[in-house]
Order: sequence, then structure tokens, then C-alpha cells
Amino acid sequence: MNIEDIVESLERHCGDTESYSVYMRREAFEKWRGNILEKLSSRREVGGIFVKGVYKGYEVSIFNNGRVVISGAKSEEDLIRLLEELLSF
Amino acid sequence: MCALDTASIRDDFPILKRVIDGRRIIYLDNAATTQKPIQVVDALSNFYLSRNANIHRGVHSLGEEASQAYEIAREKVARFINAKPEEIIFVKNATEGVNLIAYAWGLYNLDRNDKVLYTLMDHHATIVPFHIVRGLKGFEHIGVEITDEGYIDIDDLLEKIRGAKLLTFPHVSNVLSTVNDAEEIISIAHEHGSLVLLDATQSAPHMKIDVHKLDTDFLVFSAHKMLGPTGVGILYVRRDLYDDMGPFEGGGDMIRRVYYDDSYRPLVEYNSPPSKYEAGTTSFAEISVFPVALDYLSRLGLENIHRHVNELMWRFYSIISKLEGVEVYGPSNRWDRAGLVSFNVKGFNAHEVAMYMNSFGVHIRSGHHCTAPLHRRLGIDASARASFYIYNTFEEAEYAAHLIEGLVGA
Repeated sequence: MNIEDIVESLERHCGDTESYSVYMRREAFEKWRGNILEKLSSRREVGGIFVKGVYKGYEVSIFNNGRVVISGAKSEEDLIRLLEELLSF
Repeated sequence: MCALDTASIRDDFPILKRVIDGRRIIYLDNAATTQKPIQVVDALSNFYLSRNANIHRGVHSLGEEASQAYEIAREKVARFINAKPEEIIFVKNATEGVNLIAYAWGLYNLDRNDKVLYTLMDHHATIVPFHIVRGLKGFEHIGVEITDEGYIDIDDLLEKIRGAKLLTFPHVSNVLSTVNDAEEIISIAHEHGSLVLLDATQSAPHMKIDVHKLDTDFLVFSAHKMLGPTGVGILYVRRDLYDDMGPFEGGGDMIRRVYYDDSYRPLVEYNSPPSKYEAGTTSFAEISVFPVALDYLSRLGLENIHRHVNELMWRFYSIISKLEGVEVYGPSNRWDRAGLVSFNVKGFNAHEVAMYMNSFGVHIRSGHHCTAPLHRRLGIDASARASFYIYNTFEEAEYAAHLIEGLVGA
């Protein structure tokens, strides 16, 4: 399994803090959502729309529509490494 | 009271009927770009279907028609801002308009001992072109402070304007929503011998622009932020300032004659402005149909449009500004604000807020909105921004605000 099988695209947000939107493939997202959730600490469900938590200092928010917002990644390489960990590669 | 008949306006914007993930879209990202009415889409389609030919080149019938439509567009745009047609340069966007001034005016008029001022609420597009030219010419490039309430700090301006050759500032801030007193600021600049480049990209869509009343020297705005097609920026240059400007890009219509000397060194004569500044093939189809958008806005009336977007802004602002944990930026005086609200919600970053809203079909923007210096001044990395236009309803503004209320309480 490659990360491309799960992640459709990445988009860096504009702003000083390195923050990204990760667009997960819908079918894959359902499968891997649990993998991400179980690794998050300080988990908080927000209005039935998303779950926000922390993983190794990175803020991670998983939305029900298959999008993930990750803040604190220093680069795209850092983000991909983080995603691989979150997805249990 | 509603200044506009939004129900009938919305009929002209089929995109607003779209349903994504089971939600009808509510488009509140109008400061980034507006949607296009069917009249503009049809006009562009008709241009390509029946009139398409490059302008100012062929003597054939289609070329003549296309050239006429292009020059009529220039006349209409000039009338829209009370300028003369020859003072209107078509560029691909407002950013290119600023770059044109930075190079074609800046390279020929700025030197080591000179100074250019921007304000901390300027868009990157009015800061960076002069920063680049500063690297070539070595002039001083410094920012004018803003007040904590979100106005240009006039005391700081008065302190820094002495010796400045140019001041850039936005008529309306794309983050703070501040409607700057452009006439007063321009008058201060002129009293101190400085020219002014006014960024009207956020004001032209809903405020009457009169370049003579404003007395500005340069002005830029974008068609796509006011119902027009993309690829069209408008640069106004006060007629006499052309005498101080060199060329910008080379090629196409900017050339009167190219020949060579005995050693085959090329020699070039340039056309007169505005052609001198419209090199290569322009977005002539989009430019030619831009008047359809201007006619649409004129039919509604800019005063009515301004009243409408200000009311939408205020309904949204009034709800969210009372919420604990929500920080709203810009003036608290309604009449000093235009049609947008930037904010942050404690405990969430701006992108989470925007994505949360998107889950309900509400499209807002998040980020620094190309104003990183302003965000630094505000002590934040990014903000969420809702911006309103003619087709938005009061219900949409209130619904969006109540979603923020729900997020705060979640």
C-alpha cells in the first residue's frame, strides 16, 4: 500500500504556520480513519463534524467528508512522514 | 430593508443552485473572486462563437469588429471611474498593474535617496513589486503603521511621508474591511510631494470610483472581483504621468516600428500609451465582455450594492462579534467597514473553521489573504474571512454566523 492509494492530494495553506489540508480518497478514508484516530491524544469531537486531536505535537483534525487538516508540519516531506506514521505504514 | 432584489439576481447565477455533499452552496468568498452572471457567461461565449479575431492586427471584418469591441470596453471602463480612455491600460490582473508601475515608473523615477511607502494593511501585490525594484534601485521601502482599531495611522503617515515619492494603500482592506478615507490620505501624500497608487480591488466592486474626485495618480482593480471574467486587470494612469514612464513588457501592440542600424543592432520606436503598455495578445475576449458586468452593476446601482453588502457584513459581524472566544478584526464602526469580516475562533485554526463551515456548504476563505505583514501586526498567522456580494441573502449571512456560534459552543 502506498500513500497515493489513500491520499488524493495535499494542499499547503497560506499562513506563517505550516498547515496542510489532506484530501483522502473517500473509500480509503473510511478504512484508515480509525488508524489515525487511535493515535491522537487530547481527542475532541466538534459538533459532529470533525475530531480534533494531537499527535507528537502536530494538531490533526479529521473531518467527516474525508479531509484532514494538519498543523505544524515543517515541509511536505515532514507531512508525508507524519501521514505514514498516522496511517500505520 | 433589502436594497437589492436578491431573488431575481440569484436567477442569473446558476452556480448558486449547485449542491455539494447534499448541501446547497453558500458562497461567501467574494473578496477572492465573485461568481459570474449568465449575461457575462453568454457574452463571452458569443464573442468566441461569433466575433473572435485578434485585435489591432488584421484589416478583415472580424478583426475590425473585435478591435472595436475592445476599444468600446476601454471607453466604458474609463466612464465607470471617470477617467479618459487613454488613461486606461488593460492588464491581466491588478497585480500586473502594480508591477507595471513598479517597473515602468519605478525604474525611471526612483533612486538610492528616494522612499516608497506602503501601509501595513497593503496586499502583497502592492508590496512585493516595489520590493523587487528596490533591489535594483536601492530606494527605501517602509511601512506605515495601522491603529489598533484597523485604520491607517495618520500620525505615522505624516511622520514618514516627508521625502516619499510614492505611497501605496488599499481603498478597502481585504482583511480588516476598513474603508480608508482615500481622499484625505491622497491629499496628505500630494501635500508632501508624493504620488499615490491606490489599490481599488476591494472597493470598485461596490463603491463609486471617481479618479478625479479621489485625485489619485495610479489606480488598479480587477474585473473578476466584480462579476467580470478572469484575466482582466485595469490600471489607471493619470495622463501626464506617462511622460515619466519607460516601457514595461516588449512585443505586439506596444511597438510602432522595429528596424536596425548598419550593424544590425535593433532600433525600436514605441506606440503611445495605452497601447505602449499592452504588449502581446491581451485577454481581448474577456476585456471586450467586461462592460456587460459593468452594465449589470450599474443597473443595480453601486450605492444599492454597497448598502446591501454592508448590511450583510453587519448582520454577520453583529452576531459573531458578541461571541466569547471569537476575535473579529477591523473597525467596530459599521460605516467604516465594507462587505467582509475576518475573524478567528479560539481553540481552532482558521483552516479548521473554514473546513467546518464548508461541511455545511458555506464557502469562506482562510489564510493570510496575501497580507502576511498585516497578520503579523495583528499577532496572528491566519484568519477566516467571510465576504459578501449582491447575490447573498440576509438569511445566508445569519446562517453562517450561527454556524460560528455552534462551533464556539461545540
